[in-house]
Amino acid sequence: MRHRASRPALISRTAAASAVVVVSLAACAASLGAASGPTTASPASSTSPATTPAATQDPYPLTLTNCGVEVTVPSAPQRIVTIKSSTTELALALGLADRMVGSAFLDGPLAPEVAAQGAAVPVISDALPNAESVLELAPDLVFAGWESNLTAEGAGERDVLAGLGIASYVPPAACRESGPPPVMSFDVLFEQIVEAGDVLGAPEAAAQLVADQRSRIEAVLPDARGLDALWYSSGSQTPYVGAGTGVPQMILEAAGLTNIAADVADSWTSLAWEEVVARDPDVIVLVDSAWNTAENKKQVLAENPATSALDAVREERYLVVPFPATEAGVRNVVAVESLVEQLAGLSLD
Amino acid sequence: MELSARDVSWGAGGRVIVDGVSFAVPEGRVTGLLGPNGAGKSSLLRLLAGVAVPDGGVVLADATILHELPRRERARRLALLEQETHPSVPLTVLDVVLLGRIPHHSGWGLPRAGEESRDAELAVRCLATVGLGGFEGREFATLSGGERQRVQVARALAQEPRLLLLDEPTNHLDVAAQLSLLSLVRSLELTTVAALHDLNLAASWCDHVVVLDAGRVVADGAPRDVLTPELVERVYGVRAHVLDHPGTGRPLIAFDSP
Amino acid sequence: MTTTTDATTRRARVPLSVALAGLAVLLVVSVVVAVTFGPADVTAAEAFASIAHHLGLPVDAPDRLTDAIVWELRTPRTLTAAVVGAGLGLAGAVMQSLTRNPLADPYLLGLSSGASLGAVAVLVLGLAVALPAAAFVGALAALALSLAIARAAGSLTPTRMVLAGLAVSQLCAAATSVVIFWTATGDSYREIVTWLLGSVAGADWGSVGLSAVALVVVGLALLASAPTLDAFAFGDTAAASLGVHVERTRWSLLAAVALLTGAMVAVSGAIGFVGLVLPHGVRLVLGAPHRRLLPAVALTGAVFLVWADTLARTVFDPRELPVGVVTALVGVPVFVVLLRRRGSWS
Repeated sequence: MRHRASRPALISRTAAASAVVVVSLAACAASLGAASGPTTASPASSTSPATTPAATQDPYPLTLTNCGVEVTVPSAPQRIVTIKSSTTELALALGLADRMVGSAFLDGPLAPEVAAQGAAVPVISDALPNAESVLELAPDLVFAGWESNLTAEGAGERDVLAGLGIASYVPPAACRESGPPPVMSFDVLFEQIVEAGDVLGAPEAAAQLVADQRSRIEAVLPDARGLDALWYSSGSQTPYVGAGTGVPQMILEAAGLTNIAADVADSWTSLAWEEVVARDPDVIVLVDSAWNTAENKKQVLAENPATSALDAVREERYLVVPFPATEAGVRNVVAVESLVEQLAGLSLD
Repeated sequence: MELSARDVSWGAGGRVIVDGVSFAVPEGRVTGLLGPNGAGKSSLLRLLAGVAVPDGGVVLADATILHELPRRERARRLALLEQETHPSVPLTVLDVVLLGRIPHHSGWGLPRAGEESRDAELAVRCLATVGLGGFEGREFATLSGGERQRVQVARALAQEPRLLLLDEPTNHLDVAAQLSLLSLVRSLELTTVAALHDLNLAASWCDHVVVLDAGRVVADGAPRDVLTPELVERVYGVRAHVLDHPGTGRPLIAFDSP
Repeated sequence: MTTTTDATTRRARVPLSVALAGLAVLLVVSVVVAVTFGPADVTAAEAFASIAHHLGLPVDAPDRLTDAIVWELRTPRTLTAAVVGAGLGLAGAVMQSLTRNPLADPYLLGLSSGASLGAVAVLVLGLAVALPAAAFVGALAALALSLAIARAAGSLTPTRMVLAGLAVSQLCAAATSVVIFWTATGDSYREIVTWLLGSVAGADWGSVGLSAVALVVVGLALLASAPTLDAFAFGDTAAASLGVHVERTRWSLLAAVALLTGAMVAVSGAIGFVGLVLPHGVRLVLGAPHRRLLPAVALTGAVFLVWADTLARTVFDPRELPVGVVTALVGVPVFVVLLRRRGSWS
C-alpha cells in the first residue's frame, strides 16, 4: 500500500482544530450535557506555592491556576471526593484512602493495586453525582477527572464550591483548552502526579509513586519489530481512534508501536474506515469499556466488509486495554507493560 | 344536466346548517343562491357539487344519486369554483388550467400518450374563451384578482363540465372585474349555480334565484318575483325598495339606511 | 391590483426530457468520480479496475486492500448516498404538497425523532436489535402516534398533521435526551451525535439494497400519483371537486412517504435539508407540476448527496464529518437565497 506523504502540519492542525470545533458545536446542538471527554492533554496548571516547598516548611495555603481557574487550598485536604477512575486511583495510589470520603462515576472496577484500599471508600454514584450528594459529604476538595464533572448539573460549579470553602482540582491533562493540544508524555504525566501530590497533601507519596512508575517504565522493553497499530476506542460507522498527541500515543510509543493516526495533532480523532484499511495496521489495540466492549469492537471489525480483509483482523492480532488505563493516571504504565506482554504472545508471519 | 336537491340536510359540529332543502336547478340557466351569512349557501353548494355528502335527503344528477357516482365521473360533469384560494406552490396559468383535465385521465391520473398535447390545446382554447389568450406562461400569483378568477373559470371549462358551481365568485373583485366575470359566465351558456351575497348582482345577472335563510329555502323563482321588499326585510333585516334598472329593465334594489 | 408586464413574469421552462437526461448523466458521472475520491491513496485507474472486475468485466482487480476500499466501502457508500438523496428529495417534495406547507420536510410527522429514539435505544441501551430495524420501527411508531393525535381532533387536515407531528417530535426528542443523559457514559455520545446528524459512513451493500428497494417501490407509486398531488394545490375542496378522494389519498400518500423516509433514515440517520431545500430549487427551475418535479427532485437529490458525502469524506481528510453537517452548511445559504426569491409565491 502506498502511503500519502503527510500534509504541511499547519494545514492539518488548523483543519483538525476546526473539525474539533465543528464536532463540539454539533455536540452542543444535540443538547447533551454529558461529559466531553478528554480532548486535550494540555498541562494547563501552574503552581505557585505560597512558600518554596521544603521538607520542614508548610506548603499550604497553596494557590494555583488549574484549567484557567484560580484555586486556593488552605491546608492538606482531609475530606476528598474523587470523580472518575483516573483521580480515584491516583488518590488511592498516593495512600489517601483514609482521607477520601467518597468516589463517583467510576469507569470500571478499580485497578488491582489499589482495589483493597479503595474498598473502604464509599461510592456515592455510578453516574455523574449531583451537587447535593457531593455536599452531603462535607468535602474540602473535589478531585474531578473531567472538567465537565464540575458543572451545575454535576458536582457543582467551581466558583460555587469555592464559595463554600471547597477546593476543586482537575488533572491538567483533562483541561479543555482550545488550540493545538501539547503533546502528552510520561514526563508530563509524572509532573502532573507531583502536582497532584502537592495539592492533595501527599508530596512524599507522589515522589515515591513517580519514582516507582519511572523505574517501571524504564524497565519496559518495547517491542522491537517496528509494528504499527490502530488504537480503536469506539464507533462503528466511523471509528474514534487514538491520535498523535494524547495518552494513546504515549502508551503506544512506549510499547514500541507506531500509531497509524500519529499524524493527526489531537488526542483522539474520528478516522474513516477507508483510511484505516489504507494504513493497514499490523495490530489493533481495543479499548475495553462497559459501554463498548472489546468483544463488540472485534465484531464490528469482522463484520465490516473492508476491515475484514485486513491481516490484523483475519489473524485476530488484537491487544486489549481497559478504559480507565486510557486516561492520564496511574494505570498508563501498567497499560504499557500489558501491551508489551500481549505483543510478546503475538507472532506475525 | 339535471341537478336537484330533495330534502337535503347537513350539519357539522352539532349544528344543522342545511335543513330540508329541495329545489331543482333549471337547465341552461344561471341560478343564484342567496341568503345572509351563515344561511348555508356555501355548504349547500358543496353538497350540490358532491364534495360533501348529505346527512339526510339526496342530491340527484340526471336521476342518479350524486354521491353514488364515481368521483371522477362526477368531476367530469360538475365543476366547482371556490372563493379565491391561493396555491401553495408557484404555478403558471397553464398549470392551473391543466388541473381541470385531471378527472379525464385514466386510473392513476396520468395522461395517456397523445393526451398531453390534446390537453394543452384544450387548455389554450379555454384561456382564449375567458379572454386570457397568451397568458399561458404567466405566473398565476402575479395576476390581478379578476384575472385569477378568469383562470379558475378556464380551469373549470377544461373539465368540460355540464354544470358550473360558483361560490361567491365576485368577492375581492372590483366592480369592473365583477361585471366582466359575470358576463363571461353567462356567455358560456352552461347551467350555472352561483352563491352570491350581492342582491343587485343576482337580480341583474341570474335567471332564477333560490333564497336561503337559516338553512331553509324561503323563496324559489325569478328575481322579479322573489326579490320583493318584504322578502328582503324578512331575510336580510333591511328595508328596501325595488325599482327597474333604466337600462336593462331588471330589478334594482335600493336599501334604506337602518 | 394592476396587471403586471409580461417581461418580468414569463418563465422560460427547460424542457423536461432535456432536464432529466442531463441530470441522469450528471448522476452517473458524479457516482463514478466520487468513487475515485477518498482519504486513502487510490488512483482512478485502480478504482475503475476494481469496479470493472466486480461487474464481471475481464479486468484484474487491484490488490486486496485497495479492492476492499473501493468495492466494499466507497462504492456502496456512494450508491447509498445517491439512493438516500433521491428518496429524501422525493419525500420532501410530496410532504410539502400534502401539507401545503413550503417548510415541510420528510421528517415532519415525527419520523426523524422517532427513528433517533429507536437508534439511541440501540446505541445506548445496547438492545440486541439491528440499528436500521430499530430506527425504522421508531420512525413508524412516531408516525402512527402523530396520525392518531391528528385524527383524534377530527379529519386529517394539513394543519393538524403539522401540529401533531411537532408534538410527537418534541416528545421523542425529549425521550431521546432522557435516554442519553441517563445512561450514556464515556464517549458513546459521539456515535449518537453522528447518527443524529446523519451519515452514510456505515453503508454497505445491504444498505444499498434496502434503500434501493424502498426507493423503487415507493418512488414509482409517488411518481404515478403526480397529478393527484397537483390537485391538492388549491386545497382539499378543489381536490375533491377534481375527483380526488381526499382522505384516502392523503393517508396512502403519507404512508408511502413514511415508508420511504423510514427506510432512508434507517440506513443513514436523519440527514437534513435535502428534503426541505431541494424541492424548492427544482420548482424554481422546472415548475411545480409533479410530473416534472418528482423525477427531477429525485435525480437532483441523488447528485447533491453524492457530492455532499464526497466533501464530508475528503475536506478534513483523514478525519470525517457526518454528511448531515455538510448538507446543513450548504443548505442554509441556499435556503436563504430561495427565501429571497419567493416573490412569486403568495
